[in-house]
This record gives sequence, structure tokens and C-alpha cells, in this order.
Amino acid sequence: MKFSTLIMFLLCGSLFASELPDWASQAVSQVDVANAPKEAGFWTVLDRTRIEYRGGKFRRKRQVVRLILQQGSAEEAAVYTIDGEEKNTRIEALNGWHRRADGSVKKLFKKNVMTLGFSTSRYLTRETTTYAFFEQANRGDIVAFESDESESNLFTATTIMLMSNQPTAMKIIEWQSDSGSARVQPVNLESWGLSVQQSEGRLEIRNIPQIRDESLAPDDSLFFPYVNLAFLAGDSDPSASWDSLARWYTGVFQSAASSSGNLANDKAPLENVAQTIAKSMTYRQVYLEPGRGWKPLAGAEVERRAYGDCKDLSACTAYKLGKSGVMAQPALARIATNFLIDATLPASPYVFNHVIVAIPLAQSLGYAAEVVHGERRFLLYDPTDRYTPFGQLSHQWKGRNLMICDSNGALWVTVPAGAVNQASIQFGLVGALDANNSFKGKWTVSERGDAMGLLTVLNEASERDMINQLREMLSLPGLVTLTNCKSQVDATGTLSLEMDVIWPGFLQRNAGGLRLPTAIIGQSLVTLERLEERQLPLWIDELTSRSWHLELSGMNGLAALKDSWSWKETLGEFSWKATNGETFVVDYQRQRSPARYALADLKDGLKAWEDYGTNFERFLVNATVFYRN
Amino acid sequence: MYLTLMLMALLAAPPGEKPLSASDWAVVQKPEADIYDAVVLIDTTSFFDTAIERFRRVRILSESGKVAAEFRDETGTAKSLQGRVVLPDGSETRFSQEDLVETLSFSSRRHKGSSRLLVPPGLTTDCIVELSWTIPAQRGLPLKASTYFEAIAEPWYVATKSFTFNKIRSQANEFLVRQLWTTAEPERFSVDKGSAYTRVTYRNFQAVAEQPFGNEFRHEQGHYVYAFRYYSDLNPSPDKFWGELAQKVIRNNLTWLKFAPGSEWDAWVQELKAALPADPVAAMTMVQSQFRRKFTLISLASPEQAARIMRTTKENDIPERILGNVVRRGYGDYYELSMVFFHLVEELKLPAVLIFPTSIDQMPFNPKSFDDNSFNLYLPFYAIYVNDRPVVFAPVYYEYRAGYYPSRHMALPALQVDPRSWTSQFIVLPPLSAESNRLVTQYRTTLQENGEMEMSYKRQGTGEYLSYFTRKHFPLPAAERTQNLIHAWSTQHTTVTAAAVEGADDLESVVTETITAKSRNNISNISRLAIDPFPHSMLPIDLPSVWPERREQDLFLSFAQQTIDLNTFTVPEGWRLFGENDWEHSNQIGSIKFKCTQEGTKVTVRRDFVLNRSFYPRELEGQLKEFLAWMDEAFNQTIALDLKGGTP
Repeated sequence: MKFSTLIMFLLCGSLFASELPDWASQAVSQVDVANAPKEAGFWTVLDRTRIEYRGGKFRRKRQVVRLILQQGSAEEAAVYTIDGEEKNTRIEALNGWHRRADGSVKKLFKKNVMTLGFSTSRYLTRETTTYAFFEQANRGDIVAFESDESESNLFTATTIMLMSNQPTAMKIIEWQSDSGSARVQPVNLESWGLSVQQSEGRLEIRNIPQIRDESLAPDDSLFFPYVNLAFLAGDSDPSASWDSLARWYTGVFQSAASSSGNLANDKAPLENVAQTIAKSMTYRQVYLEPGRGWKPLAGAEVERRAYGDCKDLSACTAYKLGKSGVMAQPALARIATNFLIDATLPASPYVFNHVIVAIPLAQSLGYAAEVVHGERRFLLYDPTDRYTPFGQLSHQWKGRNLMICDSNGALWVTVPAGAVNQASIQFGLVGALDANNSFKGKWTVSERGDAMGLLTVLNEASERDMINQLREMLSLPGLVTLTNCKSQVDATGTLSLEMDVIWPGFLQRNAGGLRLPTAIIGQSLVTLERLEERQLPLWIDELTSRSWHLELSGMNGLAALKDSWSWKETLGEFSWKATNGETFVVDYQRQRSPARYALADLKDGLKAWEDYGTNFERFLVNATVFYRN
Repeated sequence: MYLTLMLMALLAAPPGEKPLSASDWAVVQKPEADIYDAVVLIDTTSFFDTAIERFRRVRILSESGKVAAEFRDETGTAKSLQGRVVLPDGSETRFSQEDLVETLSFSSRRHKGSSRLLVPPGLTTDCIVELSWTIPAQRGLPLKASTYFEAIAEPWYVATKSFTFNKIRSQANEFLVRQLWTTAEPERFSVDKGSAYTRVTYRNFQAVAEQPFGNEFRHEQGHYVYAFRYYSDLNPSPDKFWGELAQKVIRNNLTWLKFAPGSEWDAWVQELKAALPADPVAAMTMVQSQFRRKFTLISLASPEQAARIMRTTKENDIPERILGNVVRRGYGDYYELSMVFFHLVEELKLPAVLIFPTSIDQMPFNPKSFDDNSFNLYLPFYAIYVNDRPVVFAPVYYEYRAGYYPSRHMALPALQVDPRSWTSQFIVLPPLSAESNRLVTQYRTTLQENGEMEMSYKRQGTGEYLSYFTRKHFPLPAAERTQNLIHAWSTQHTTVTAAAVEGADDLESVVTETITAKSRNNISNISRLAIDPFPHSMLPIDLPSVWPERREQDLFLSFAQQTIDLNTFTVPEGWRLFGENDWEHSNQIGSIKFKCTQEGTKVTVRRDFVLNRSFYPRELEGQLKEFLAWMDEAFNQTIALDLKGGTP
């Protein structure tokens, strides 16, 4: 029976019920509605997950009861979702109840269940989400859902997140397996002030706060509290430890790469393979079969298709290196967020979201991206990155840790600072202003390390699209015209641009004078919440080093209040130097380092950000606004 | 005869796999000709009775261009897909239906749809891809479809694209195929007619790029082929077709449901009749207002109304009961309320005509096409004529007050039907002026010597702005409305001391948002303070950074409007407004004015923004960019105050 048809068969029974099921009524009776969390849209008074692991399959039974506190959140509260995979998940049962404020109870109707797939040509997947929902839910109503799902999983482990965007009064996690034993690891609960009541096969957590929508917030789920639950089949189970995961993945990867070889001692075969991969392969995420999140396609098939995701391109690289007699190993990592994983985290396959290639070397070949673990030396290579010079890693790898998978276990390494292709961007603007404050002149750009993505766009599309990328990144006004663009990329991957620019309204009225464009000096900073209202720690992102050199003639007596303005503080550096004269010369440089302020240090973080903002605002008024002498 | 027809059809069939020529490989990126990423060398579509056959040959020129060779079948019906990727050295990778990736797109109680994707294997940045496939059809249109739409231009240069309409053998319920184009330039296409087919071939179409404030249907590259099924019982002549549509189709649409509302309705109608003003506009205004009080629109209900809505889907399955149920219960969806309102107007004998508008986000309407898909024939507006000008009512668009209707229908053709005679004519709906959509925000700010600041804010709107406030506030209880306002304003520096939303409990009042807040400026060691005079003001128009070099589309903005922001500051004795702040600019798009004055301790700052219209010809793109730059300047302009005794 097909997945969706099955759901329909399972939904049966009368549309109306006289009352909520006992478990839902009981959950409601155990909370004090008068003391519901302030400002919450709805309150999950019960979120119970029972996980059974039998015969290599997970069975997940969930019960959720929500009390709708605000009308604006009623629609969201009335939707229940089940994530799954077309061929991998079965919804064995799905029920829902909606009790209105007048006491009437309505059951979930078949037409209010639908399943959506998410495949696109860039993300080929069988992932689905099933939505069950009630219409016309209102403040004061109660909705309850119950589902029973079965799922095959590559691993014996699963992760349960504890927080969501609404508060939870009672979270219960229960488990059972045919082997009888389970490993349970609550993570990050203490730092969130959550206490756990644990008994045999059961874990209970009360009063979980909501994740509020706050600026400069952590961008990774691993920062929040979660529970790892594993039904280990023994010490060799991939979920048992980093070593067992590394050993298992070595085998999985090698069977796809179907290669063997020796330690590399020559640059040529490595660079040839990398060049072929960069030239002939397209990145596409492919998750079409159970386990495809981990198992690469065979290297030869990836070569035929000429597309694949990180594991496919890595396996294909290993396959091609193998044909040159060089061996390669997978290295697992987490990218795209600011969370830095390391070996001290509880072992779990779910902390990784990327795989690259570690090429064992016989001796150093002089590449920056070489790492050493004990007696062994590896070159790290990311086949999904087409434009970073071979032998380096892109800027996003700065400070990250990777787990090189080896038949002997896990080899954790840190990307050396020197391995990273430093990102920075320099702009130069030389020309004249006319009486209407329009600027006409030359604009030069020097981009290192693909700092603004210009290099990628130039390589993948065209000069025209690269200019558009520049316009978007700087929020350049539509009136600005850029012509006669000449671009060049040198061996280090530095992109140089030169173009003619006409910029009407270059100076804009502000603070009683005329100010340089926002595209050059930057936008005002985001304002944060007060300390007593802030719930999340402060994660301040890096601002890539950006500098401007301006030579402006035709200022007609306009001058800045301050010739120089600079500061250096915890969050970054800032400098401005202006020379008034026939030609007004400005050198302006700005960068910001990433900073993390935990909940305990929030006061310091907010103060640091406020000082940074005050400094910046004062700079805007005193240095970037020009007045007539 | 049949054999001849078959032969003709075969001659008109897609070219299939033909050897690639040197000229195919000679195609390269040519920025000077605006050729980037990929070129569609050949694209053919042939319509047969039971199938639509497609063939494409695409030259790939860059990494970004690879997407031009991808294939996506949203309906999951494509058959016989095959093709090849050919490299310059002649080597090729063949693919077929097996390479399609089929995934679930949706499933529900009654429907299930799959989506099929092909990323051709072996794609490189320098190759040619050929694909051919078939779509099952019924009498020349895709199965279960009543229309067929295909744009000629694509995001890549199109060298040749042709459509062959083969004669339909089955004459029963024949559909008419019409080719429509927005600008009929004869050199852009050729027509080849045979006894059994008509082929239209388009050549050399530039790539279409997304254009800010553009409209996919209204630009010079906006040629398309559009085919639709046709009312075979209506007379296909311009004089008769639309009249017969009104007589036979529209009339039936609005009256086919039995309307037996009962005695309570009758009494209510009698009450209305008794209170009806003599002036038709006033009468229609009153009726619309009373109707909205009596009947709740499910999708725009107040919390109290929403709590009373208890609707079961099964009722939809018994059409003859629907309207009676709507009247009894007092709520319904757009369609139900539209039909009830129609009966109300009929019973009250109001001198209103029905208006079926066209919309800016659809294909331009062409009365000669005999295509009624441009209209929603169940949701009419109404109009009362005053001095030959229609005053338009949109009764089931509850957020719009009497005399207002959604801007997307303005200044466009509409079908007007007189429900007394069921005769029809075309009119153009009159646009509303900028003053009709006015947003006024008044601030009062008191500054203290220590940098502390107290501010009040009051905002009201008319027209589109009022409908925006209604959608935002009407469905929420008062506490949530104010909570949302407080949440939007509270920051590290700002504490909201009072907030309120007034007039949002009904659909007649003017909605007013008010806030009182305290904040602080860090003025230690500074002698000049810069202040944003209009915090939380909304930018009326988006500011795009990327504008394609060639403007191919006319300029479509959301709605003509006027915004006025006024802040009256009370500053400490000795504080002075600094510098040059005043300016104003205007062009054909609109006008912007920024003005500051100081009298003693009172500093007044006012900003006026006027967008004259919502539509401009493409030739005014330069003026629009200029206008947006002014807007950017005006909405970011701070004022500076020199503090007492301070030096810069």
C-alpha cells in the first residue's frame, strides 16, 4: 500500500467526538492556565514521544496537547507535522481532536491531512512533511494530536530536540527496545536551567521555555538542549562512539569509491583530479534512497552523471585518485553555522552535515591545508568548493574541527589558521562630484577568498551577474550605472575589477549636512532587546574585513568634522582617515570579529554591542557627514 | 483523406534527433548581444488529438546555464522522455525515462501528485543537450486542462521556437486555439498554414530577466502561446459572444443555487428597504455595510465571530442547501457571500450593475479572444453610476470600505453586466488617486537635557492603507493588537509606556495605532545629536539594486499613494536645529518633500511622499530610479541638533 493512501485509510471514525481523549484531558488538568507563559502564542501542555526500536526499525508514537493562548497563533497551533521519507516512513495512525471554547469537540477529518514533497532540481529528495490541521481554531481552544509512525533508519540512534518556538509544560520521552538497553544522553540541559527526572525507560522535563525570535541569536540547533537516544547493537555500532562511526563510514565510503592506493607523494595526480572535478562536476544534493544522506553513489556513476552532493563528489574524488594510485579518506564536518563541533561532544552521527576528502600524504607536499594527526599527515580537500585554490580551504573553514574517518577509528583534526584562504575586500573610488552631488569616476574592487561571492558568480555565470551580485551585496541604488567592467583573477584566487561608475545622488542629506552613501559606510546596527527581555545568548557574527579608499574632487568646500576616527574594541576594529583639500581623500577600514556571549555573560554582551553601536553612530555623524566650511 | 491528414501531421511533427551542425557549436556567450549561460537552439511543440510532442535542443555555455537543460514535469504525466548530452568532441551521454527522478509532490484525501525531475547526466559547461517527450492530451489540450500557456521567451536566448497546431479530427466540442501576443511585430514570427496544420514559428528572442516592478505578461518579449477550450454554444463574434456569455453563463453562475432563505431574511430585507436612502450610492453603501454586519466572511472574522464559525466540509456537497445555510448561520466564504449579496441587491432593486474586473497579475485581456478566463465569473464587483462615472463597490472584500476596491484591478478593462437585462459592455475601471490611499503619521517628541526622550505616535490610513490595518488588526483581540505594537517598538533603548489600536473592532471605522514610548540618547561627550525624526516609518516602495540594462516591461507599482509624516519636537532651551535640511523634488512619478523649522523650543519636521500612479510606461524607468533615490534619501534622513553650548 502506498504511503499516502495508507494515511487515508488510517483516518477513520466519526467527525465529532464528545470529549477529548483521557490523556489529553489529564494533561490540560495538570497545568494552571491562569499562569500560562506570558506572550506565548500557544502552550504545549503535553509533548510525549515514545520510541520503540524493534527489528532494526524505529516506531515513534507521539501525543501532543496544545492550549491556544493567542488568536494570532491559532492557525500555527492547529497544525501538526510529521517529517518523513516517501519510501522510508509509514504513518500507522494519525488522530486529532479540537475542543472549542464552547466545549464541542471535533475530530480530525481526512481532508485536513496532506503530505508535501520538497524535491527541486538542486535538492533531489524523497523527504516529505505530512500536515494535519484543524480549521477555525481560536484562542481558548485546545488541540490534541496523536500519531504512530514507523521508520527505517541507517542508525540505531536518534536525536530529540527539546525546545521550539512555543513553551512546553511537560515533555516526556519514553523508550523501549527488543534488546532492552538504551543509551540516553541529555545535552545542554543544564545551561538552559532545565532539570530532568529520569527513570527506567522514561525521561521527563518540565517548563521548557520557548525559543523567541531575537536578533544575533545562535544559529545552530546543537546549541539548544536535546536528547541523544541510541539502541546500540554493541561497541561496533556506528552510533556507539566516534571511533566506531569513523570505522563504519570508512567502509561505506570505500565501497562507493571502490578504490585503494598509496600515500600521496606527488602533487600532480592530486591537482589533476581536483581540476577535473572542479571543471566537470555540478553540486546537487541527492537524497533519494534511505541512507543516501550518508551513502555515496558509486564513484563511476557520479562521474557518468557529472553531478552529486558532498559525499558523491568526495567518493568520486577518491575513485579518481584511486585510479591514479592515491588513496583518500572521508573527513566529516559541520559547516554553514557558527557552531564548532569537537570530539568532546557526545558521539552522534547527527552532528555532521558535510564530508570532504582527506588525502593521506607520504610527506608534506607544501600545501597550506595539510593537517597532522600523530605520525600521519593529510591534505584536506573540499570537492564542492570549485574556486578556492587547491591546497587551501575556503574562509568558512576557519577554526573548524573535522573527523577524519579511518579504519582504526576517528582522527580529529583542526583546520590550521594558515590553511584558510583569508577573505577580505577592498574598494577604491576615484573621481569627481558635480554641483548636484553626482559622482563620476573609476571604481576598483579587489576581492580575496570569495568574500562577497563575486568570484563564484563570475565563474558560474558571467561578469554581468557578478556586477549584479556586487550591487545586491552593497544595496547599491538603481540609479548607479556601472560600465566598462574589466575583471581578472590571479593564481591566488584574488579577483580584481575595474569599472566606470556614475553615481547620482552620491552625497545625501543627513544630520544637517551631506553624507557618504550607505553602500560605502554601512547600515546602522540592529538594536537588541533589553537584558530582562533577552532570552537567547548573543552570537555576534564576523564582519569580513572591508576597506574603502576614496579620492573625491569637486567637494566645493565640503569637509568632515573629523579628519580621523578610529577605535579598537572587543568586537572589532575601525579606522577612518580623511584629508581635506582639492582632492578629498578617505581611507576607511572596518572589520568585526565573531563574539559569543553566553546567558551568564549577556549583560556584558549587550553592553559591548551597545558601545559598538554608539561608536558607529557617532562615527557616522562626525566623520561621514560633510558640511560647508 | 485520413491518410492525407496523417501525412500532413507527420510532416508537421517535431524534428526529432537531427545531426548537430557546426552552427550549433558556433553559439557562444556574447555579452554584447545579451547572450549568456545557454541558448535554446530549437524548441518545438506539436499539438495532436491525444498527445503534445515536445523537442528541445539547448546549447549550454556556463555553469549557471546548466539549469536550462533540466526538465521538470510537475504533473507527472510526461512520457517517452529521451535525449542526449553531446560534448564538443562528439562523445555523448544518452538518457531516458529511467533517469527521471519521481518524487511525491503532494497527496491528500482525493488527490495525489508526483513531480518528476531530470538533471541530464554528463552535463558540462560546454555541451549541447537534446530532450524530447510527450504529454498525453485530449482533443489537443493536456488531459484535464482547459488552457495551455507557453511563454516564448525564457531566461536564456531563444533562437527558434515553434508551435504546430494539427487539425483536430474529432469535431465534437472542438476547442479553439488562439495565439495571442502583446506586441505583434511581424518579423518576430512566421505563420505556415497547411490544410491540416498551422505552425507559428518565433525566432531570436532575447533572454528575459527579472525586472523590478515588472509584469511577466506585459513586456515586449512577452509573446506567448495560449490555447483554451471554448464555449461551443456561444456565438464567436465580437458583437454577440460577450452578450451571450452574460445571458447564459454569468446569469446561471449567480442564480443556479436555489435561494430560499426564510422569513428572518425577508424581515431583514424589509427593514433595509424601509431605511434605504434615496441616493443610490448612499443606499449601496448602507446595504454593503449592513450586509457585512450581518454576515461574517470566514477568512476575515473578528475573534468573537471566529468563535461562532462551526463549518463542516460536508455542507459543501449539498449545493441547494448552501445559501440557506449561509443565511441561517450568518457566515460564509467569498463565493457564498457573493451569491447571497447578489440576491440581496436584486431583492432591494438597487440600480447597480455587475462589474467583472481583470487583474494586473494576469494576461492582458483581449475581447477578441472570446476567452473568459480573465474574469472570475462568480465574484462580481458592483457599480453605481454618478455623472457617467462608476462608483465601485467590492462587497465581499471586507477590508475595503465603500467606494474602494483592490488596486490590482484599477485602470484595466472590466466586463460590465446589467443584471436586469443581462446585457454586457466593456469599461475601464477608474483608478483611485494618490490621496485615496493616504497614510498619516503624527509624532510628538519631547527631549530632555540629559538625552532622555518621550515620544507619542499616531498613525491612520485610508484606502489600501486602511485595508492593510483592517487585515492586520480586525482578526485579533485588543490585547494582542497592542501586544504586537509594543513588541515591534520595544528595544534596548526604547520602553513603550502605552499602546492602543482604536477603531479595529468593526469594518467601518478608521483604524488608529497609537504608541507612547520613552527612550534615551547617549549624549555624553557630544555636542551634536543626530535623530531619526520618523522612527518605524514604512518604506512605501521596495528599493531594488539590480535593474537589467534593457527595460522591456512597463512599470507596475503597488498603488498610488500619499504618505505624510510629521514630528513636533520640544527641545531644551538653547538646542538648535543644525544645517541644511529642507529639500523637495518631483517628477512624473511623484514628489517628495522634507522640511524642518524651529521656533524657540519647537522643532517641526515634515516629510511628504506622493506616488502619483501605480502604472507607468517603461520609458519612465529613469525617472522611477531617480524617484526611488529621493525616497531612500528622505526615509533615511536624520536631523541634527546642536546641544546647548556645545561645539561640534
